[in-house]
Amino acid sequence: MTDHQLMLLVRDGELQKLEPLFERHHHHLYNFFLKQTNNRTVSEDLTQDVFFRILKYRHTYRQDGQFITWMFSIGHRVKIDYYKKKSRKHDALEDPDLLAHPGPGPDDEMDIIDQRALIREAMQKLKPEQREILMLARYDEMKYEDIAKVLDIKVGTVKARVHRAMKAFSHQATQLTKGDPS
Amino acid sequence: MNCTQAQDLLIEWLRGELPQETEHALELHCQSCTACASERDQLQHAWTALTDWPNEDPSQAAKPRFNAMLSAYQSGMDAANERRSLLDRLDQLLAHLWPQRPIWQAGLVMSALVLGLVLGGRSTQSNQLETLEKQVDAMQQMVALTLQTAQSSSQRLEALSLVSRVKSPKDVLIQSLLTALKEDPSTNVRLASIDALARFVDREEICNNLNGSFDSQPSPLVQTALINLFAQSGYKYPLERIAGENTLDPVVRAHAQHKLDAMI
Repeated sequence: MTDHQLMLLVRDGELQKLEPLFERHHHHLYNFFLKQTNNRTVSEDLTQDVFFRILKYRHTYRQDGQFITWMFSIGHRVKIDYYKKKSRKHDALEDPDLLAHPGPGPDDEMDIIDQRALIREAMQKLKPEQREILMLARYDEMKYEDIAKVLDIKVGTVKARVHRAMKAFSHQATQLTKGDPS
Repeated sequence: MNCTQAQDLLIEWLRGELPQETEHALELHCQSCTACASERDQLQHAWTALTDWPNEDPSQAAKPRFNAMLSAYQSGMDAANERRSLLDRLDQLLAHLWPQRPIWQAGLVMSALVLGLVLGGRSTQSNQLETLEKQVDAMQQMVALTLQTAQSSSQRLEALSLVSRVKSPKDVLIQSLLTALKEDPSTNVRLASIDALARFVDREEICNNLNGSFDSQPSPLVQTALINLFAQSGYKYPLERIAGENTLDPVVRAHAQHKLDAMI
């Protein structure tokens, strides 16, 4: 059964059909949040919140809808609410082990860990909206048209923002590789 | 193709979305323009790093937490449907019994008024009790749901404070309290869930669950609160086990032994 068929059943009252949708997508959603927040607990909370809102607002799912796009547009709003709360409370710090520089290890392993730490650090230097659009753009199933629906902006704006975010990310990664922390 | 056009196409090229002809034109342009070729290579390098960035698995608590949320939501919805269906049936019955002639309608209204005045005083108390029971049920659902979904620990603590009003907890509430004790990231919420569970600790399955969750507690503070609860409830077995468990914090073990000695 496709995501869309399952979601139509959820919309019509078969709430248990949300379980296979959770199985299929919570992993992606969790990583979508984790790579933006660098906090595992917060990312799990946000993922749960998305599925709670899917239940709460299931009546708004449309017959001609696309589940993935709809789910990520809820994720987008959940994330906006999270950043609003975070700016008020400053209570969600990054997980230290996600940002920590690696300890000693075999050379190949060190290269991989170094590379990942560098990507995380470069991402953290971007604006939250740039991080989000890159995470959506790297997700295979998301076309530009879908990203435009998720963020409620025009397709042309998506292309321009992805390009700018990629350039900023590439610039930050290059600077960090050279050892310049700016 | 000029440089502006080429740069506009770079992201689509990275995502493999360009038609073959356009890709070929971009390739030709990059062969003759070192600036665009350099930007293409830099972006490609960054894009590869980004797409190769591996995903992490969520914790094992994610699925049980989702199931608890779904189950609490379903119970809340079932209860609401039941209330609605009762009201619908009552509505149909009244419509069926309602007389067609205005004179009979007026008579019925007057009789109902008199009957209401006579019985009103007597039935108020039972109605209030029924309403109160429904409110307590709804509150339990709400507490369980808040524990599972609220992002802020202060919201979860506020929900836990409502448990003191519950006399007969439903399974969904007990499960949520036990899950909060095992998995909530906040020490304060875990401590508050122990306080909430303390009122129902005479139920054997709850005590067994508390005993089972003891070893997974990272905080000695929470472990100490659990020991106090075991001692207060007269459960010797968990205390004996904790006192003899060499892998535990020596202070925690000594506290369990102290409580055990006091019980003897």
